[in-house]
Parts: sequence; C-alpha cells; structure tokens
Amino acid sequence: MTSLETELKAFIIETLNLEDVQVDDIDSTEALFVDGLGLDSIDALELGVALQKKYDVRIDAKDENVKTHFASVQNLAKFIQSAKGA
Amino acid sequence: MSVFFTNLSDPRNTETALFLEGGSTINVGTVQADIDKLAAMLEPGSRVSIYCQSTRLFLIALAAVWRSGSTAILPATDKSGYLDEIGQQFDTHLDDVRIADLLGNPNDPETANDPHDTIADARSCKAIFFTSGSSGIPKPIIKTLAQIEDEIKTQSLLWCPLMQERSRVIGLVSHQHIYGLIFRVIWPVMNRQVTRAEPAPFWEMVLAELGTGDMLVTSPAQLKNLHPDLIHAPRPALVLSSGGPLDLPTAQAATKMLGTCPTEIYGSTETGGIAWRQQQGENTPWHPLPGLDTGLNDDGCLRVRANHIAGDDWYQTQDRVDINIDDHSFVLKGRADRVVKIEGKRVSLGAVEEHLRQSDLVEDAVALLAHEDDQRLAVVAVLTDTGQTELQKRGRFRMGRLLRRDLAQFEDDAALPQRWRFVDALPTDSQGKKPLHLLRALFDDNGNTLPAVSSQTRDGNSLSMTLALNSGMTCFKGHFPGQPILPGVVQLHWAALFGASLFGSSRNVSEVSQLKFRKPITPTDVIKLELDYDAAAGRLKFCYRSDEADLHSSGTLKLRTPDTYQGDVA
Repeated sequence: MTSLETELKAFIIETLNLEDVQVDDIDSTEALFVDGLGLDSIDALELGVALQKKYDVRIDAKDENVKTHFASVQNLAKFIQSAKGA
Repeated sequence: MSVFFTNLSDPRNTETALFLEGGSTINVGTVQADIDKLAAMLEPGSRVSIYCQSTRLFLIALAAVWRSGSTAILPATDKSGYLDEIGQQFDTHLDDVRIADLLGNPNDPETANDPHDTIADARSCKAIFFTSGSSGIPKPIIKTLAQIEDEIKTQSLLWCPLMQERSRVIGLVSHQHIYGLIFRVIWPVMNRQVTRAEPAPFWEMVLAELGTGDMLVTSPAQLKNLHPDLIHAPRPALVLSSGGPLDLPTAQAATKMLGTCPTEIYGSTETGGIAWRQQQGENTPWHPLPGLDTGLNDDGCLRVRANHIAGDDWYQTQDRVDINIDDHSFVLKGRADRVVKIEGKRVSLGAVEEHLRQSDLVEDAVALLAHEDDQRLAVVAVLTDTGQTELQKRGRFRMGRLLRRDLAQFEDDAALPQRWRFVDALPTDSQGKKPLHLLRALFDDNGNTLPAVSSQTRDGNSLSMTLALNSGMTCFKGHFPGQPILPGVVQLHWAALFGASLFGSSRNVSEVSQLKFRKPITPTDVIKLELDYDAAAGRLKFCYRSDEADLHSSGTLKLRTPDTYQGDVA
C-alpha cells in the first residue's frame, strides 16, 4: 500500500464524513462505488470537487476514463500521480 | 363565572369525594380548605412554577396560584437542567414537598383572606406550558382557565352521556401536560367525578383499582404496552388516548383487551382538543369536536375555529388533511412542516420514512435534519432482525449506503440521507412522542472521549493499534491544567474497551496486576496500544508505547467472564 493510497483513504473518510469507517477498512483495490464501499453518485460529486481542490487535478466529467479513475483507491492514486507527473 | 372554582367552593359539594388516594377518598371541602390556606401564603401577581407527583397537591397549588392572582408555570419535567432553561420565567417553584410543608404550617390570621370573597375570573387565570420547539428550546404556550373550561364543556357533550353513577377518572398520563390537566384535574371538578391522586404511569399500578364504568386517561405508549391481566379487569366506560395517533393494530388490540375501542383525541397544547375518532378500520376519519369549525389554507393544511382555541379567530395548523364536505370529518395526511428544503428541492420527511419502512431491513425510521442548517438528511432507524444481521456484516456506514441505494429508486438525490444512526428503539418522551432534540442528540459527536484509531493490525489474539489523541479530549480536561497527561484509569478503560470490541472479551475488570506507569502520555504523542488476549484465562495484557523501545505503561487485566462465574459455582 503506497502512502498516497493511505492518504487518499483518510481523505475520502474525512471529505465524505464516513462515520465509523477507518483507513484499514478500505481495501485499495475494492470498488469505491456500489458493491464495495457503497459510495453513490452524490458521494462521487462531493469527492470529485474535493479532489480537484486538494490535488489540483482536473476531472472532466465527459472523460470516459473518469469511471476507471474512480473505481478504487488504487486507481485514484495512479490517476493523481500521473496527472501531477504530467 | 368559573365552573371549576364554583364547584370547589359550593358548600353543597363539601362532602363530595374528589380524590382517590391510598385507597381512601378526599372530599372537595378538604381540598378547598387547603387551596384557601395556600392561596393566602402566595405572593399575589407572581409567577409560580408547579411540578407535582400528586395530582391532589397539583390541583391545590394550581387553584391557589390562580386565586392569589398569580400565573401558573407548568414545566413538563422537573429535571434541574430543564428548570434552569425556563428559570427566567418564574419567581417561585412549588413541588410536593414544598406544598406539603406550606400546608403543614399553622394559619396566619394576619395574611389569610376570606376564601369566599374572591372567586377568580377564569379569563385571567393563566397556565403556561412549554412545548419543545424544533431546536429543543422550550417554547411557552399560554392557556386560560376559561379556554380549558370551554373545551371541557364541549368534550362533556360527547363523553358525559357514557359516564355512569360511579365512573371515576383513572389517569395514566402526567397532569403537567394540557391533556392530563384537562381530564385529570379540571374535568373531575367540573363533572363531579372522583380522580386518582397518585401518579400511575404503568398499568400494574392501577390494575387492582379499576372499576366498571371508569374513564381511563391514557397515551398511545401505554395502549401499546397493555398489561395481560387487563383482559380480566372491570370494563371501563371510556378509554381516552392523546399525544399522537394510535396505529390501527394497537387500537384493535386495545379494544379486545379493554372491551371498548379507545377514543383518540387529536389536538395540541396550542389548540387543546380539535377532533376525536374511534378506529374501526383503515383510514378512520377524525370528527371535529361539537361546534368546532374547520377549513383549509392554500397548502391544504387544516385551520380550526372554536371558543376554546382562539375565540372568533381561525387557528392555522401545520397538519395537511382531506376534509369530507358532507360530515366535515377529515383524514390526516401528515405535517406540512415535515417538508424540508434541500438544495432548493422540497423533500417530504414522511415519504422518506415510508419508503424506508417498506424495506425488509427496516422496522421503523425517522428522517430529520440533524442540524437546523444541514443540507443533507439524517435518519434514525430501527432495524429488523434481517437488518441487524446485515449491519453486523457491513458496519454502520455501508449499511447506510445500502439503504440509501434502495431509497434512490424512489427519491431524488436531494432526499437521500447522508448520516445514519441505528438504534434498538426510537427515543421517546413520557408522552410517547419523538422529540426532535432527542433525535438530534444521537448525531452529536461522542463528546470526544475516545481516540481515533488510525491503524491496527491483528494476529490472532494479539492486536496493535495506533491511536491519535487530541488536546480537546475530555480525559485531558483538568488533568492537569497546562500540563495535560492521559490519566492511568483512562488507559485501563481504553484497553478493556478496545479489547471488548475487537476480541469480544468482557468489559468487566475484576483485577489489575503488574501495573506499571513508566512515562506519561501527552496529547501530542502518537501512541500504540498493544493488546494480548488469553480467552481461556480471561486475561488481557496491554501496553502503551510510542515506538518499539519507548514504553509508557503496561499491565494485565483480569476480566470477569461468564466462564469464571461458572467456575465459582463449580
């Protein structure tokens, strides 16, 4: 588990006010939406806005890869890393 | 002219029994003498709060306050915090002990005035109630004796014909609320009925005393919890219920048990009684009290007009209704103020709750805004057994999201709740209502008493967890000023608590051994708590460290488990 992944988990918990969820409860590869952590479209919206603010990344809702980027913490970390590296 | 005061002071009623207390009766004359005595001792024109267990002492105090030209303040509870909250509103507080004390004093002929000189004007006799506003801050509501008497005259048209020669009033609700005050205190005097003086919130307390033809003054909560022996009890003539609607199964079960269908009174502290019904089936409509006019505002909310409410003026309720134009009966469709605006959209709390209740996982639910200006809903839910199993499996957050996905089939995004609390029972007050401030309290932070667990690893019965402390935590307050350190007893408590939640060990510590405190823990320390649990021996070893080398404290807790109890027996 990379430190960015851990950071992102803490960030998700804080941003979405996920009461009683802890960093270790979220698996890096688990699906963030529906079957996994169970986030939904409202969470996605809030999370998207917060991520843009904190990591200064651009999230284009029309981008077809957005779904992939948000699929798991691991994917999200990769996305942020590549966006920042670019 | 006040019927209440006239009946109390009428010499022909002197020997008439008024209260049933400790198996014997107390007559009107005795009560009137106490009223005279107490009235002479009260400061005229003051504000007197009254909170009594005994309905007899309550009536004496209330009548004396009015007789002395003072205003009665009727708090809903005598909890000191509550009295403090409304403390600005009264000069003197009377309770059972104080009233009994004052009545025990010898008469002072200097100040005593002639009781028959002054029969108070019912319009100037004021009682102030407090209802919990949406914020939980008590809101004063002023009622006059004239309004109360007007309502009783109206209600008497309906219920007096049912009364028998010996019908008594057996009250199970508090007389501190308008409903109890009307039927347990003022009604018995006006209609010359005997009323029970002692509080009896539970059926067990009145079971042996019930008589044929009695009038029972109850609440939905009590009708939901009927005592099984009631089926053999003498049949009452009238069973009143107020404080909230009865659900149909409860009404039907109560009809079976008590031999008479409960008569529900719909109203509020502001209005007093508005309508009544006896539920025979689904959607039984409410019938307005005799002489009460009804109408609708533009939002479809009921407005009412009656002598006992606002005289010739209309009173606008927040209850949406369908009125039958033929007989003016109406069906309640929920409260208009149970619609909140979220992101500019109107969200019906009732609809959210109804959809949640349709889920196999949810028994009951209340939707609310946890804070006045929240932009997302919160829900307090009671789960079914299936729901409980799911909660165990998923944890609170994922459970909430699961229910939210179900809800998303019916509701707009704006109506989807963000925060969830799962409870065994919805919090209710003594009237069986679910006050908003109690529900909101469930969403308050836990008082910052436990550290956040930032990570944990477990290997069988060994556990290591990293705890994040902060200086705002309750345990650092005053321990010590300017030099906060984590108290030893808190360290033991956390060890037992985390052990219990992660190993399922007992929280009950019987013995502490090998206790060492090496180095104080401060709010800025990032500490590791290591736990080793030996289930067979019922022993939990703990140590707090900063890193591998730096030991703060350690010890062994001997836990009381069911096994050791059995061991004691063997």
